[in-house]
Amino acid sequence: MKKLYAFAFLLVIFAACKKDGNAVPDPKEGLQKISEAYAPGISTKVELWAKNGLSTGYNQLFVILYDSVSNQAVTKAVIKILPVMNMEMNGMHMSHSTPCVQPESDLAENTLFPFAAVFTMAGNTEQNKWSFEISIKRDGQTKTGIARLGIKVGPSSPERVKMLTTAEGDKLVVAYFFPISPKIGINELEIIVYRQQNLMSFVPAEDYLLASTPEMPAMGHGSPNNVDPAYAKNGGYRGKVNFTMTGDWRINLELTRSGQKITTFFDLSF
Amino acid sequence: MWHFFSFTTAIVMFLSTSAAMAQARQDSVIRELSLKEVQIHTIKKSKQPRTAFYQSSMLASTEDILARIEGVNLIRRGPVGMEPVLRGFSAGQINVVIDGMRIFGACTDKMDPVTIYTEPVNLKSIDIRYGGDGSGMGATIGGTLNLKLADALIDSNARFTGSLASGYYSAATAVQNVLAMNYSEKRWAIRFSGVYRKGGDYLDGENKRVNFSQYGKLNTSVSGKYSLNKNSVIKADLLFDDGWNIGFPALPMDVGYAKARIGSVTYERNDPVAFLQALEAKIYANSVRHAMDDTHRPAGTIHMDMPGQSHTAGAFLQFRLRSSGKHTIRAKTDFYYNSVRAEMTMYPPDAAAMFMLTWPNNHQMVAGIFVEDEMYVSDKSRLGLKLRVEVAQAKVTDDVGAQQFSIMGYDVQRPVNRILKNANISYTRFLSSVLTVYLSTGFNERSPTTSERYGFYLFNQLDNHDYMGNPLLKNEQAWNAECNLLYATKNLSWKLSVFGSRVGNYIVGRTQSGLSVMTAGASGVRAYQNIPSATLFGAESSVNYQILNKHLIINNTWKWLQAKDNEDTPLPLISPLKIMTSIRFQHRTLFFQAESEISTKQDQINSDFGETFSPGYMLLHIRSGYGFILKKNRLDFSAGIENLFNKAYADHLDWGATLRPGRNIYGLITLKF
Repeated sequence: MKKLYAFAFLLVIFAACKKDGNAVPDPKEGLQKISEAYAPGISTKVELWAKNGLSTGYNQLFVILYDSVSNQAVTKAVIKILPVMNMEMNGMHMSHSTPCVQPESDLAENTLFPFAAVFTMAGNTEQNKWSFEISIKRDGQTKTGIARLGIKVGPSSPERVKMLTTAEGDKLVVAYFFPISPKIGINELEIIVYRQQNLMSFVPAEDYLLASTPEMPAMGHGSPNNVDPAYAKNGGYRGKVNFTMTGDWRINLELTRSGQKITTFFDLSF
Repeated sequence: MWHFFSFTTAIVMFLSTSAAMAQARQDSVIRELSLKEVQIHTIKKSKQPRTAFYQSSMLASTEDILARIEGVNLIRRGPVGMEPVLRGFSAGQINVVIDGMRIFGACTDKMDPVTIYTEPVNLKSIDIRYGGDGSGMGATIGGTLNLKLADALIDSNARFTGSLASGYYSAATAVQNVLAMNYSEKRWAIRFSGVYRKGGDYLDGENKRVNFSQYGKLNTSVSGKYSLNKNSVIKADLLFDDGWNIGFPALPMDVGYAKARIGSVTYERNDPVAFLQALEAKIYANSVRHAMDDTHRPAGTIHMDMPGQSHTAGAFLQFRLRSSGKHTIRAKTDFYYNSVRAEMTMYPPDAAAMFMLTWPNNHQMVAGIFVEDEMYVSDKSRLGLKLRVEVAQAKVTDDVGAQQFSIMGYDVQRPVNRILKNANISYTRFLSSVLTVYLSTGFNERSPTTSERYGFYLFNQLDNHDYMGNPLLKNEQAWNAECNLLYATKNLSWKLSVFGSRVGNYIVGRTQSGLSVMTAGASGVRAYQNIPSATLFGAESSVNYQILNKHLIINNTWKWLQAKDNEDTPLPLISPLKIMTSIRFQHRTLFFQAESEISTKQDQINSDFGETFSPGYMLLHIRSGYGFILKKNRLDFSAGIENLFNKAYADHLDWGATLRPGRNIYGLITLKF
């Protein structure tokens, strides 16, 4: 009998220990690998992870670096990312970039370097190819290595990115994302606005006044007490959008700068 | 020694009997003055002379009976499922209970007032106590309507009794069948009753079919009683009510189904000489499921599913102590738990289904104590005191609902506790052997209802607005007063009531310009708010006169009501003056009855709430019956014509002024065995 108690006691201890062992979460839990490549010259393997496959619009991504010799995660490095679209059209070659929110810190969060990209078009064919040029300078090294990772970007439906041209001729890329998936109730909403300087360069557009109005097109009603997005950082405007029920919603957006107004909308369904 | 003791007891009892008889008569007068009790004929004929007036036939529904009671009006959205109004108070302002059991409808649009879940055949009586007199059943400002269930009858002389009735109504080509049976052994008895009603779309007074006025309903109940000993019994009741395809011509949707399951176990003890004279303990549970249905309506609008459910469990214990000195104390303690949920899913063409909670899962827990002291001040006067304190907790219990309300800026997951106080005092004075006056006044409170607190964009067809609940509503508080006069001789009784209430924190919907409508075509959104006050007052009279050796019975009732808010705007859904007179000639088993029903015009309207002027009307009904007495059975035939002149009319409380049935010829056969 005593033995049985001792056994039970040990079992409990063991179970408790096992639980403790799980306390540090796997950084890749819930994520899938999008692409990987080596950065030549700095003996580093670069992996790209995301929650879902990539599609046009805002995509939250994570870079993970491994030392290709020791296979240990690299947790401190200065990373710069350039998305590049290579297009072949009737024998002509053309390339352009797209807005990208760079990693904020050179320190990894649980081995992950988060960044985001707003893809303005799909690219998953021989003619249209997206890739990331990731330049890495590891802590303690002097050399900067560049890794090229091919990626596939699918279309999103309904469209999660809009390209607008203002009356002044500014070309804007507007996208949105929800830090927490949309649900009935109050939702944090972030609108991303970037201004295109040239084909390869996009900069945050910080000087717009945004007004967002949710609407259910099937019903013609909206929702009360929304908070218009206000500029935060990295081209992101943060606000609150309220959904009173599930279904198809449209977020109407009004962007105003020096008296000029431009409108667009995003449809979404949950 | 024992002999001596019992002898003394006998003498004491004998001496007290004569006094007790006078007191018993006084008690019955007080009951008549403080309580409107309508007994109901089922297997046995009720002894109350006025039952024949209120219950126009064996097939009259609970609603038909209520409509004839002075003090009661019905808000009508369809031919079945009318909402009772007591002296201008309705919904959460009144308690509608079944045998003292709390039960709450599961429909956000009030299509299922509790009264539809009973049928007269399973009722013994309908008891109505107005204002604070009804606080014994729960905190209330408008009163209590108690649908008392019929018991099984232990009577070893009549082992098996029952009645069977079948009838036909022409206006809605409706059939109604009723069965009630009682089986009794020496110590126990069981009673069964069943009602089946089915009607098509009725013809109105313009001979037009009123679309979506059909209904189907089956109600069954079983109750058993076991006599534990001379003084105590144990009872069990089960009641199943199933309604389906019930049309609501005044609303955009009908009822797909409405199911109520009601059960209780009761212990009763009565011992006139014991200190604890009477005791009743009951535990109960009930469940209501309800679903609206728009699939029969013309296409074009978005199809939606709107199911709702309401579950209640509770218990109460009440007792009466033997009179000591001037005091007779009654006390009651009760508890109930109610949880409700209603949702809406809309299916727009070519778009994702839309879902929301119209009543987020929420519960109420209520516990109360009620004490009543009937003070025998003198031979000629009595003083009554009724006190009730109730603790009520309400809370939204699901996340989606809480999120919905967070949009409006409310935190509804934190429980809201309320203490409700009801205090009433009454005074009865026997002015002479035939004239008695009863005065009653008190302060009463009620807590807001689920819809008033947690309703989420509930569409109200009457004023074409969506309604938002307000979790921060304050309790409605009323000062009620009434004066009743009863003149009663052997053949004539006349009761006159004058009453008034001043309600503070009166709850009404007020337009919120900042909110956009949810329902396509609605004119705006309203949220419930407390307004400073509302005043309601009115009068009722009821005369019953029996002449020619009870061959001729004349009955007349009228009811009149006025109500306005603090800005002198009339409150909506207030009935105009109504007068109902019936003359019944009875000879043995033959009777003829002629009735007139008069409603004056209502121009005291609240147009903001979608009311329009209602013209007055006058209706005539005739009824007749004849019974054959067979060996042990009795066969009754009765027939009549309601709305004899096929008047096209609608009552002021009929939503959308949908015309009521035109000439309706009915016939029925009743077999009593």
